[in-house]
Amino acid sequence: MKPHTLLFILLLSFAAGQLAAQTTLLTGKVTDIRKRPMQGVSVSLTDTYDGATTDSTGAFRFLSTEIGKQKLLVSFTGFAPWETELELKADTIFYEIVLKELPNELTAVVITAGSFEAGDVKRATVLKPLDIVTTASANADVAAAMRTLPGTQQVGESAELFVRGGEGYETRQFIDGMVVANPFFSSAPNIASRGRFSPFLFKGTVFSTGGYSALYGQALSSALVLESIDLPDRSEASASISPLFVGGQYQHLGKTKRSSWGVNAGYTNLALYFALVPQKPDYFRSPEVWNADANFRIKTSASGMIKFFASYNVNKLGLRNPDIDMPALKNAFGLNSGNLYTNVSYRERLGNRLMLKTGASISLNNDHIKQELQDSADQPVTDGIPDYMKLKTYELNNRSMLFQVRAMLDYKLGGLSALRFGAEYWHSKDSSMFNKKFPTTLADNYSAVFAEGDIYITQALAFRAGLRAEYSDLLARPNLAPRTSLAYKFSKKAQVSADYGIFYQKPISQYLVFNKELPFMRADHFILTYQLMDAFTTFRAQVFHKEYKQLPRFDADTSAGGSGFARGFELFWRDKKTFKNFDYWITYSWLDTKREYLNFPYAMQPSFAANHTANLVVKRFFTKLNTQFNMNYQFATGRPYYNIRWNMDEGDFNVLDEGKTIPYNSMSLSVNYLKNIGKAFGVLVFSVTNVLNSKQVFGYQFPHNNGEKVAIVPPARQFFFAGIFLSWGTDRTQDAINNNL
Amino acid sequence: MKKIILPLIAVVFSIFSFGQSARYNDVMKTSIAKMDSTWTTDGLMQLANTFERIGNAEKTEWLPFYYAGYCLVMNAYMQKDVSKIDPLCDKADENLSKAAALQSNNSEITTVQGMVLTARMQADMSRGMTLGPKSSGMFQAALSQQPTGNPRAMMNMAQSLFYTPEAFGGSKSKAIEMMEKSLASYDTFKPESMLHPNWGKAYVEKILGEWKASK
Repeated sequence: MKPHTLLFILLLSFAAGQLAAQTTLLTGKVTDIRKRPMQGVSVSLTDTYDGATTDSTGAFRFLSTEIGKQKLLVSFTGFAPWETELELKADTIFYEIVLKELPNELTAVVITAGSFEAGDVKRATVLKPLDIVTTASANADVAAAMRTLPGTQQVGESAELFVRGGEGYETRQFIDGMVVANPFFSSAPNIASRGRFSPFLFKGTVFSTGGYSALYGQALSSALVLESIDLPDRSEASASISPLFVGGQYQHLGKTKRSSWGVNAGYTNLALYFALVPQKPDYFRSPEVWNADANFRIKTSASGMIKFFASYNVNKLGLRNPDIDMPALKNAFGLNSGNLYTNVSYRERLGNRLMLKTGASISLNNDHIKQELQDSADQPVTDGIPDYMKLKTYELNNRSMLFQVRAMLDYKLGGLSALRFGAEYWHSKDSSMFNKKFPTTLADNYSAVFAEGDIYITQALAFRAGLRAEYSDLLARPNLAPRTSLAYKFSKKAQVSADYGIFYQKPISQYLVFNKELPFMRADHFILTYQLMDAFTTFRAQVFHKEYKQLPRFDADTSAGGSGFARGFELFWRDKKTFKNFDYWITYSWLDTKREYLNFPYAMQPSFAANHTANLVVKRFFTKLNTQFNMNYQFATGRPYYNIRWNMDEGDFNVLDEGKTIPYNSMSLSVNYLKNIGKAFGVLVFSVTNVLNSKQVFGYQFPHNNGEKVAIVPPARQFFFAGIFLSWGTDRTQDAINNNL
Repeated sequence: MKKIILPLIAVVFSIFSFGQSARYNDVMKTSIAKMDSTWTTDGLMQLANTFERIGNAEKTEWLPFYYAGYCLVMNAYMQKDVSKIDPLCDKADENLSKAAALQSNNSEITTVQGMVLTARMQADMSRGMTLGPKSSGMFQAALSQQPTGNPRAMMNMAQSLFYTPEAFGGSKSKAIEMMEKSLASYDTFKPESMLHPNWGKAYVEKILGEWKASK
């Protein structure tokens, strides 16, 4: 045998020896912290083929021919991996392994259980984004959809959200972190308008009826937090056609799917509708809206995104009502309004745990109001009337501007715990002119810093502590608003949480004009929430108490001596399971509230507050008919009304008359029918509010001579809508299908 | 002597490494064979873990991660407890993105990624509006990534067409046509190797029979 042959054999046998080395038997058992066996767990020697999967008793067993130092890795989705170093030396090893569940949003306690969230596919939420557009009474208005949730009032004469005994202005809307100064179209007194922004602009909605995060400020009662959509799924052209409006939109997704842009324009005119459905006021100019908006979104990196949105709209309307004091005369109201809103935001991951979110926004609003006393021939009346009647003819110009910048850092602490801190600055300027004279201007520089920590002590116990410090130049006052929440989950489905917080808001301009020294209005919230939730049902019960301080009050001068309280309980039940194919929710709210503010001589229940409010919302999709039916029924007990007059002799306000309106009833229906029309995907929408034609009274107005009161009623009891929404996707799905057939 | 030893060592090492890749081929082959006859969630979980181990050990092979993802999504499809679907889908996505990082623009990987989205819809039907177009978009991308025809992408596209309401672009007749096309392309489809994806023909035959019978 040649030496090299020998060597070859030697080497070969060495290699073979390596391959047929001694074997080690690895066995063990995997359980969770409650000692329950875990099945399907992966057990492996890192970087080798050797390993096993646990059986139904949590046991594993495998052989390994590896020798020396190795790493044993035990892993299961949703649990922290378990790892150990070991020395393999051809013996038997037994491990008892306990895996700890990782905090995750589905199983962990929810700190913000008190708010209503519609959004994001992954999380268990009370609402889905589609719920907002398929609520019968809402006609695709975000705020109107929120009015089917507990804690909100049915205030039919306003588009605003009145939450838990709060005024409409106590609910603020935020888009991507930034406040929206004029979320609703300007309107005539006592006639509800709509929100300016389509619900389709947003991928997530969080409606907090109290105790919201320190990230947001300047809302005494409630925050409606909207998150705009990122890149669209595809390029799409769409059109909407209805007797009320026409609109067109184009959204373009870049080839690399890293950027998109879009434009939208629309025109609304209610003249045709008003010709078909008579309105109580005499509209000499039926409401008209021109609107246009544009957006772009750029993905700057795997985690970075810039979003820009701008919208501009003009709306005009004019209407006449009989004058309350001299019914032979008429009161004409004309509105010409323009609004610009822009929002730009940028977010980027700055490290593994750190995220930057920043943005800026500008809101500009210009309302020109012309109020005129007219005779039966619609001619202005200026002579032969008492002085107080002469005040009914005037012109008002209101301009408001709000500029805002904001930056926030979000730092993940591990698990679900996180720290957030940031700062914001608002510059606002409100100016008005009365009869082109008496210019008044209110300008303010408001700044705020905030910090908040979500700390999960365990999966089941968590708290949030937040602090917000604010300073307003105009009020020349700082404030400090602590907010805290504690949540405990005591079973797989049930949890309780408690929230406490102090909330401040600047008095609205119409009061600040009279007294610039007014301090921030203040509300302290105390909330207890119980929630029982599984995949198909949600039950929620809440009790709250709210303490109002430093509200504006008309004494000798406008002071901040007002105060009040609101307390109540609310129930919410949503069920997608019990009745096959039906999805419904029921809410009930009980509210007890009194305020001593504005011209109230003593603590009284404000006229926007009803004691009992209930909602029933039912939805059903008929797959075979391609049709979704939606119904809701809204009920509220009567709201108080007052005739409050200044008494010269007593130097005080007197309540000359008071009472309660009839209860509010409204049943609404809507039908959405999906149909392909040509190459377009079409949705036909029909809806009717107040199907039963119930009489609705929102309050009363009193004439100057304290004579017969006049009911505030809607312009028409019912609202009918019919429209077609078409979209043409320009992705190539259908082409791809046809090409492959 | 040196002249001889060096090549010898080289030979031995190549035998050694041939041993490794032979082992890869062997283990993959047996696991893939097992996969075709595994119809329990436990069995699929075991296989997914096996494929994941192979992937982590090999580091440069995309197929083990691909099969791990496939076993996990099949497991998700079979779950009766809807709360288990999302965690399985998360793990499937994790494996599939590892596969995609090793093999970009691969029609087979894209197909299974689309299947994950379909599985997520089963966890919550209200996701259909957003995820439906996304999953059919994935199948469409998978079709275009392999112009020679990927029967699995066609099969999934067909199912997506079948179960999408007509108003949303679904069509039962087109679905059947597409499924027939898929079945036909199984006959011409040549996997790159013994280990490359070649599953689904029996399923297509079964489903096509059911669809035609229901018509």
